[in-house]
Amino acid sequence: MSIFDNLWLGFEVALTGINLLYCLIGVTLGTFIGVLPGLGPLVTISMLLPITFNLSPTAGLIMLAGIYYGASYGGSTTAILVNLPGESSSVVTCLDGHAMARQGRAGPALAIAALGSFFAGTVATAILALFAPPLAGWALAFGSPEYFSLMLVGLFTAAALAHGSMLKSLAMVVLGLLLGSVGTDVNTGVYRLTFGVPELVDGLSFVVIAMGMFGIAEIVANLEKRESREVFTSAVGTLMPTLRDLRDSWAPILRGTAIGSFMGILPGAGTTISSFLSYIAEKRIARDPGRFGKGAIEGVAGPESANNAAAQTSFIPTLTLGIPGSGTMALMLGALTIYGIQPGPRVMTSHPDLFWGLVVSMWIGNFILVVLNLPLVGIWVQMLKTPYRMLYPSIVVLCCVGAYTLSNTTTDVILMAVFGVLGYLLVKLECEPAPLLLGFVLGPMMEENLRRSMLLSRGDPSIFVTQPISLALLVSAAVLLALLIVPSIRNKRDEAISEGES
Amino acid sequence: MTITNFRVAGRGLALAAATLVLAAGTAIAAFPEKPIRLIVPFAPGGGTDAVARIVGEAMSASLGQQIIVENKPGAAGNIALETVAKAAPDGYTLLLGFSTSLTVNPSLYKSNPVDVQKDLAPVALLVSAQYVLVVNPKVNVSTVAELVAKAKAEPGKLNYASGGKGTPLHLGAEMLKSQAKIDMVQIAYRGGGPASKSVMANETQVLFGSFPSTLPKIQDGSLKALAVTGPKRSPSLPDLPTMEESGYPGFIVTSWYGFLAPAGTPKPVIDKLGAAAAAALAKEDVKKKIEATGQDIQSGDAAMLASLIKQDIARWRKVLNDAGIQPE
Repeated sequence: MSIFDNLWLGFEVALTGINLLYCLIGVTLGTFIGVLPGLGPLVTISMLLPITFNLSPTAGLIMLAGIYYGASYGGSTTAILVNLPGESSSVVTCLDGHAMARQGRAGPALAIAALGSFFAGTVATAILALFAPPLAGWALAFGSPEYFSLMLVGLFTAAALAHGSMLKSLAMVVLGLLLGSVGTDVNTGVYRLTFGVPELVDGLSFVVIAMGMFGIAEIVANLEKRESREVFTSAVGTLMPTLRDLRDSWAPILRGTAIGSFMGILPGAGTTISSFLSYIAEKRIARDPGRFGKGAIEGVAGPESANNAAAQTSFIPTLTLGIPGSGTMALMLGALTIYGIQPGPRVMTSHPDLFWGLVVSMWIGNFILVVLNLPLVGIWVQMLKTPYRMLYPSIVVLCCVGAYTLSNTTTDVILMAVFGVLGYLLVKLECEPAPLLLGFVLGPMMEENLRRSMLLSRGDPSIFVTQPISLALLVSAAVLLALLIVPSIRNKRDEAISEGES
Repeated sequence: MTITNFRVAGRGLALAAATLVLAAGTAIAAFPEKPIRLIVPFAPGGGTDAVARIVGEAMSASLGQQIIVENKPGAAGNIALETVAKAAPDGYTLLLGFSTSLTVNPSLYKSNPVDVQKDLAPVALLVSAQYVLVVNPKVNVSTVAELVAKAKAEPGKLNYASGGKGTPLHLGAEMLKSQAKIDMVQIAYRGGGPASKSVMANETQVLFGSFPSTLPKIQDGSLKALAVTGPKRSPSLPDLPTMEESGYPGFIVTSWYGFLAPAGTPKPVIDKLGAAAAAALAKEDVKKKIEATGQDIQSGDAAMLASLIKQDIARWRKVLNDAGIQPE
């Protein structure tokens, strides 16, 4: 069957009334829970999973998939409006997106995020349709040394994320690495930094830290400043992006899509890293990187496209290899198994209607999302005008509920409060939480893959340079490091020279 | 007058006593009167959680009260264990216990929050699952004997993937190592999914994998299966011998799940729950749904579960000892 036959079949399946309805339900629900902080697609999908048993597999999967990528659309809304990452992949959007909101440009930020996500989703779905099996081979080619080198690249970008003191951001990364080591060591089963608390045995949760540091801390810090509380009620500005915005954004959207599509295929690396990498790339490529952190639209367009593209392509290893890239994907896999569908390279031929129906409905879902979200921009912006004394408590309550629903335990809520205090301290010390989160996410994966690679090579470190992909990544990491250090060396040298001459 | 009063009082007392006895009887007969919490030690969506929901739903119909699944993942199952051990022994809190947390953890860790045999009362056995020994096709062996020979020819060269310390993937491999006297290096991953990916990519060569994660790959040739680890051959792979048939008597690695209640739960309540579970497992649609997740129904009553727990604790202690793994 040619690709057109397959797509035609897909359209036939996806456009039936039932499947369309469930697509709509899925993306709407997904957007809604993406907006609510803490409540992520994982919890929602798990709650709705039993209901899908009564539906046909295709309808059920379409709905679940809709929830999944719909959540990344919704996550950007809270990130931009209230500086609260609704999902791990929206942390980076907080940086420039919220800065734009402060300048009264929340509307363009939201709109560009929606449009960028739509473009990325469309392209990524096309990639999924055309290249799923060969790309699955890519996922297999990434072994432990390659993952380590990739994480190293990611870690160096963490330092570049900050626009303040380099030393402070490095310190934050190290703190993140430390927090990431809490839990059980995979090789020996030893508990690390758990202090006898059973809930810490599986490590700290990203959502708990992010909500504590971004949400609670920010709210506390804001409540301190009495004067500038009125910042949002001033003119909100136009709701739609200007021509200038569109012109500035199209290239970051393209680059973000490319980065996200690639990263999503690697199980485990996924959506969080893709948005971070896209942000760094944009900052590097921009003519005046000083704008970043203060409301540069590229800092919203790139990462949002990246995380949506990654959300779509993360279906590739799940469907074709049966290897879930994240907890949510594992749920999808579970759903497939319960329907009696064995994921694997043969799923495209054994269940073509399911596969192609899912692919086409992803495109339809993206379309529905952009149609849904663009008009909603006006409503969201109105929400910003809610008086603080009503807005802030609601956010705190939502965060607490979100933290509790992660594992049905109050320990997570307490931890979130602890991180709220820590985050407040960091705000006072003018340290940024974003590098900490990146260190937290990357550190454990780096360590795990480093030790695993050394075990595999029986202690020979050359494994990292003898595997070609790993070597390529290490070279990129070195180049990145050089790019980071050289400008500051040059600055110091210029200073020294000018002091010498005077 | 007084005698009449006494008679009236006496009749009243007798009536009261009879009502009380009836009430007590109907209290147990009336169990459950409110929803029952089923604590599942896994995050929602996995095979275990699916089984809990499927069986729970079927039981709700027969018991007349909802069985509500509460997911309390973490700490290798200890959080759920503790929650149930501390709950009131009235039958309204049940644990979906699984073999690793109940029978392997006691030998892996020096301090355990719950003494499985003292603090919990078995209710019913639900499902069991066996594992399959797979290798990457590049290893070029097709029986267990050939694998052992290859491992002996190149000691320390083969890697096996495990899902972490104490998982059946780890235990199976350690059993093979000590019984066949071969040397393979453990490469630990976080769970069966990444473990099977690594064998497919030939990063590791050997794996005792679960059926759901390996069956599709065996069927399309990315992995080569050598033997199954249960007491009987698997209907999905009927040509594959068991480990016992391959020359290792007593080599059985299975994982199972069952319901447990806090110790001290009244026997009639346990019996009622157990009967409801058994009835649910006998239903055709429940059977089909469970088997779709790659697990086999193994219905057993409280006594059977109790003896299985006792047996397995001793067995895994021996395996871990032989492998030189000390509790920490």
